[in-house]
Amino acid sequence: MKILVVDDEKDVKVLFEQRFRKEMKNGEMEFAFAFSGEEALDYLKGYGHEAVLILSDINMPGMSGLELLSKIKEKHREPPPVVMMITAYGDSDNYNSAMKLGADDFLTKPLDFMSLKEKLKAIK
Amino acid sequence: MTSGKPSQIVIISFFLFLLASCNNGSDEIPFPQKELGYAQPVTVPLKFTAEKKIKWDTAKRGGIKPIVKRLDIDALPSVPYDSSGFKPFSKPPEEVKFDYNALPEKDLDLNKFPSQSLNLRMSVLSPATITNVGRMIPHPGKPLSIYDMAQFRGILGLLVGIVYMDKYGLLWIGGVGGLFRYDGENIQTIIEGNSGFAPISGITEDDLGNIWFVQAGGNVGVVNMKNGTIGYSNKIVGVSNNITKMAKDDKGNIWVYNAKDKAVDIIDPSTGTYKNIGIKLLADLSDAQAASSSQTGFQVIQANDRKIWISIFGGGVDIIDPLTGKIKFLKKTNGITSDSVAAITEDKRNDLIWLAVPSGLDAIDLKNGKLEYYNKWQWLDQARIIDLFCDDRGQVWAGTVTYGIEVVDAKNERTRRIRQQDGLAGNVIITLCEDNHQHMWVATNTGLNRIDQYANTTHPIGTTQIISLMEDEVGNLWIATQKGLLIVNPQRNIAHLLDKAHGLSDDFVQSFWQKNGNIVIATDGGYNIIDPVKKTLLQVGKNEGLVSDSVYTAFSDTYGNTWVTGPSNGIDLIDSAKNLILHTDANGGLSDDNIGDIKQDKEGRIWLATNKGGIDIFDPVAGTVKYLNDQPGLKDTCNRILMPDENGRMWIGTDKGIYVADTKQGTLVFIGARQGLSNAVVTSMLPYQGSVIVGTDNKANIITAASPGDTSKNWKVSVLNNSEDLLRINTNAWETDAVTKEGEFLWGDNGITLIKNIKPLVDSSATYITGVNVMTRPQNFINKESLSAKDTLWMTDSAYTKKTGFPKNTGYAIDSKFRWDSVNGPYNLPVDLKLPHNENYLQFHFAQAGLGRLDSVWYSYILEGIDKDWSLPTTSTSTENYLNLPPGSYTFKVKSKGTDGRWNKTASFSFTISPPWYKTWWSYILYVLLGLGILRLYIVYRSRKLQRENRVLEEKIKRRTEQLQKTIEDLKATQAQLIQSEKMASLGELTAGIAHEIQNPLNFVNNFAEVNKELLTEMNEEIEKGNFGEVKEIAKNINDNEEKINYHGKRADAIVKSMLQHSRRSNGQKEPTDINALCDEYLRLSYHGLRAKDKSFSAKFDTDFDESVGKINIVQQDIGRVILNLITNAFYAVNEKKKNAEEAYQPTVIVKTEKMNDQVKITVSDNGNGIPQKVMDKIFQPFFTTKPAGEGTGLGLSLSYDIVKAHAGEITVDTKEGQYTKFSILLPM
Repeated sequence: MKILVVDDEKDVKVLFEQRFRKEMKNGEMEFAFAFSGEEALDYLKGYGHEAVLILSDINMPGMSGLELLSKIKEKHREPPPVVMMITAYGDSDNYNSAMKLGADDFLTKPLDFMSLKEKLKAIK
Repeated sequence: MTSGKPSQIVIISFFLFLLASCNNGSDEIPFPQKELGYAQPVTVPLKFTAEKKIKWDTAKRGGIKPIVKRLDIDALPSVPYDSSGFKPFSKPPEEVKFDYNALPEKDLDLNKFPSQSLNLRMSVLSPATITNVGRMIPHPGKPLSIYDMAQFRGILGLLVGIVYMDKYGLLWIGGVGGLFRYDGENIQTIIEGNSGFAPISGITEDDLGNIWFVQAGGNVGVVNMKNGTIGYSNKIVGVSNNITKMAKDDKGNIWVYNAKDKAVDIIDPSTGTYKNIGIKLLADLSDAQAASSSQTGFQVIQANDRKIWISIFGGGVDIIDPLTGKIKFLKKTNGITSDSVAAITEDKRNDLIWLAVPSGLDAIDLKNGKLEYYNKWQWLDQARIIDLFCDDRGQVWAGTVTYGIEVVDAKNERTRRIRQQDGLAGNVIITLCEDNHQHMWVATNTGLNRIDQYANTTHPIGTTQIISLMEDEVGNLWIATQKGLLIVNPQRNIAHLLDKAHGLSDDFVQSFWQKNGNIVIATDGGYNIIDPVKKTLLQVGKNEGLVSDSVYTAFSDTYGNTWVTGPSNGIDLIDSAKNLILHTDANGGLSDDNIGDIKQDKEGRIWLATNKGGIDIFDPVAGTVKYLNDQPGLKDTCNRILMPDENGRMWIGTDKGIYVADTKQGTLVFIGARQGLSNAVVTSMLPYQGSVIVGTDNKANIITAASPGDTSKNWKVSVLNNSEDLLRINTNAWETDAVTKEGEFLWGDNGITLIKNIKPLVDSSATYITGVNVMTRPQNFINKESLSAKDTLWMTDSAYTKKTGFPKNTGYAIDSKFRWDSVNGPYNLPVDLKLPHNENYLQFHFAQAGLGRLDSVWYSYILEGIDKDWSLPTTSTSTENYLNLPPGSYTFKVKSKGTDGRWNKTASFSFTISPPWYKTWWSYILYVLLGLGILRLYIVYRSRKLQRENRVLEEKIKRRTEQLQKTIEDLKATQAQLIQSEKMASLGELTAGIAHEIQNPLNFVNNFAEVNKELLTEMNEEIEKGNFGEVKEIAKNINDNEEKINYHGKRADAIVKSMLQHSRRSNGQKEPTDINALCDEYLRLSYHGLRAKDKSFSAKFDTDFDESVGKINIVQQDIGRVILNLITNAFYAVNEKKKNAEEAYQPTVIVKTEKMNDQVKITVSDNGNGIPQKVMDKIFQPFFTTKPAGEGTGLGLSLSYDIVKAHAGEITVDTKEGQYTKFSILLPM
């Protein structure tokens, strides 16, 4: 399965690659990375069919994660990819608006990679 | 002296004010010219009407046939006629030789007589009461002009003992009523006699102007008018109830003598002493004779030779020569008629001493050494003369106790009598006094009379009404009456009567006309012509051919014709040559049938004065008539008299004045009352020595005409002297008067009044200001220092001396603080009078000292200082009451106009009304000084107060300064707090961002640490497996991760440091700072801060850093705050815009740096809403904010501005509303 990670922090890529090193090695998971909402949309235009899961940070300069979420849910109806929102601010405002926009899950930073792995495996 | 000038100006202006407000009264206002005299006669062109033919009625009449009778005037019955009133002596006076030097003589040195004090008891003289006595009333029809001063009687009392004229010409009158002074208008009562008052019978004035008087019985008084005192002495004792008199000698001594006394007393007024000289010495008697003498009494005179002549009733006469100290005695034995000499007087012109003896008069002719006896003839032997007075023509006036006055004219050997029936109040004469107006004042036992002796007016034919008068060429006087005519031969003092019974055609004689020695007499029975030479009387009446018997005038012209007129007859013209009688009247060309007079001019024309039609002028040659009637006074008034003068002018007398027609010059001159004619009704016009005497209904006039051609200048119109009393009783008469060749004017009315010495009247009476009323009270001014140390003043029975202090003067003037130096003149006018300001109601009284007159005196006055003009002439002798006179100097002036119609000399009186003390010059100076003093005090007070206030103020300022200092410090602290709080506020905004910024690195640190833990476990597993290739790779990852951990740890550390730095107070130290890094850091902080606060917020931000900027020297925290502030504002702006913007709006904030020469420019731009133009100038003001309340402090931009300024930089803004905002900071490198 292909997972698109959207975060403005570039080190997120390194972190994910190391965390899911085994899964990537054995080809269980494939990761793509975008460093802004706009970049993520560009990716989805090109490889929309590939991404099954999108992990997006909410707090990003430019297009925020929530905007990205609404656009994804708007433009990719059949079948919409699973979008999980990740944010440092796990308050109810953020949660509610994310859920309202159709987020499939709402994760707070710092990410618990163990539970994330299980959630990803469960989506498979 | 700097303060001197303004105060000097103040003083000067005060004085100017004073001068302007003060009434100086210095401008003299001239007496109005028109009032100065009479106007000159009015001259108009002489205009006649066109000539026209006279229609004479000739048909009815032929010639006249006069009746001719014989007439011998001398044969007519005659009466004595004396125009003088005198009778010739019945026989001439007897005359004997008289040798003055041969008279017996003794020594009599008056100096050796002891002087005794009069012991004058001084009292205050009460102010005189004043009574106006008005005009005199004439006695009509009396042979002399005698006035009964009846209106005096109530004031003076019945008996007047003495009349005396003082140096001012005022009459002092003494009697039972007291002592009086008369000035022609008023009588002043100086002393009011009570019921027991002994009559004053002697008055004289001493050399100091004091009036001495003596009462019957010898009490002597002296009145000092100037001092307001009266002194009384009873030391001189005479016979009571008998006339005691006074006479002053040339040394100033006053001789007091009594008609029945045995001594004469001589008063020395300067010492208040007297000497007594008894009968023994004076009459040269033995002691026994003197003791037994009963028939005594004296009269004293001083003769020309300064000798004192004393007549002694019972002792003859003695003559004291003060120079030689001798006395001579003149007794019956020395030749005089009797030793009982009752009176004595001197004819100073002729050196005659007149003595009154029981049988008449003796006259001593000192020059010629003769003694004349004027006695024992005529009536003088019974006369009982009591007083003698010789006037300055040598007439001796003898006052008798039974027969009135006898006037003896020795020079002309005649006497006349003046008795009660002639107008005297009584026949008992008490005293005689002549005033300076040619009047004799006569006191009788029953009243006072004034006789106008010099007028010589007599009434020789009694009170018969005179119709007309004429003097013929030989000097006979023709008198027309209603009962025939009188032909007077003055040389012979005889008058012949011609009446109807003696041949005259009628008793009513109308007028006379003389022609070639013939006298034409107009009567109510036709006219008569007397030829005195042929002794014929020719008569023409109605029967002889005249229209009427009533003839006014029968006039013979140079052609030998006679013109006859009457009341309504028209004209009968008798042509003697042709023996024709012609007639004409209003139908034939006359203006009026009533013709008053007919005269012929030099050209032969006949002038007719018609009653109401003007003047008709006939030309007998051409038979034409023309009229002069264009003047109002000619046409409708009574034209009654015509008189051709020697210059060919025709004078026309009317009842409106006189017209003088000059046919040569073509002028008509008018003279009326305005031109000086005493009365407009002209009754006669008589040529006299080049002048014309004009009789009127009131007085006669002398008119001297200007030469012909002298256009109405220099006509002289005067009142005839002594005619001022003439008032015509029979008005509507004309041609009543005559002028004789002797120079007498005869006024025909009821009887004839004869005035000698034809000359113009000159009234020299002086005008006096007689009194001043102040506050409606008459004032009695006297000299202030009136009494000397030795005087004792008596008031009732209390005596005062200088030692004890004289009583305050009783006068109102003193009480009212009037001031004056002295008094002046007969009316005690105060000199230099100063009245207080509130005594300013004044009224002035005045009089013309005319001593009695028939005419009203006219007065005109002015009060210079208040009046603008002289008053209109008035007969009142008082002014109006001048009310509320303002302070100032005044001069009251008054002129009077008497009978002569000319204004006399001005009498004036100056005085001052003082300003109240608060308006005097010294008060003004005081005010100025006071003002200056107050000003000075005020200045001193003010400066002190100011100094004090200054100190208080300084104190306050100090305190305030301290407070301010504190406030400033507080403010500074507050400001610092504010700045800090602003900082904290911005920090708060950043906290979320900062937290996020820290969270992210921390996450990485944690994550990478966890990864490394996993990797180490994995690596151990691989080492166990021995898979070292893999181990190497894991080790490399671990190492990389460690670097990551380290990186993110440092990142968090930097953020925390930065945050700490931001919140820390600025130390103000500039340090080299990387502007780009600073901008980047705050951009992020700001973004994340906003994101943290507002989840919906998102904006694109970008940087455009110029890497060449490098590090510049700034206070990092301060500039950081500026940048942060601008960025935060930019994000806020775009976020605000995004809320309402369309979908496509991309909120963007760009931070740009660039190097510009030696400056760095930092630009923060956004595409927000921009800044509205209206708030552009406020954005840098403190506390200005567009954010909702509670969201912004309003200090951001303000502080930014200050910070940039502090860095010598510049902050600018470029904005477009709704488009963008671009803040730029320029910082020097």
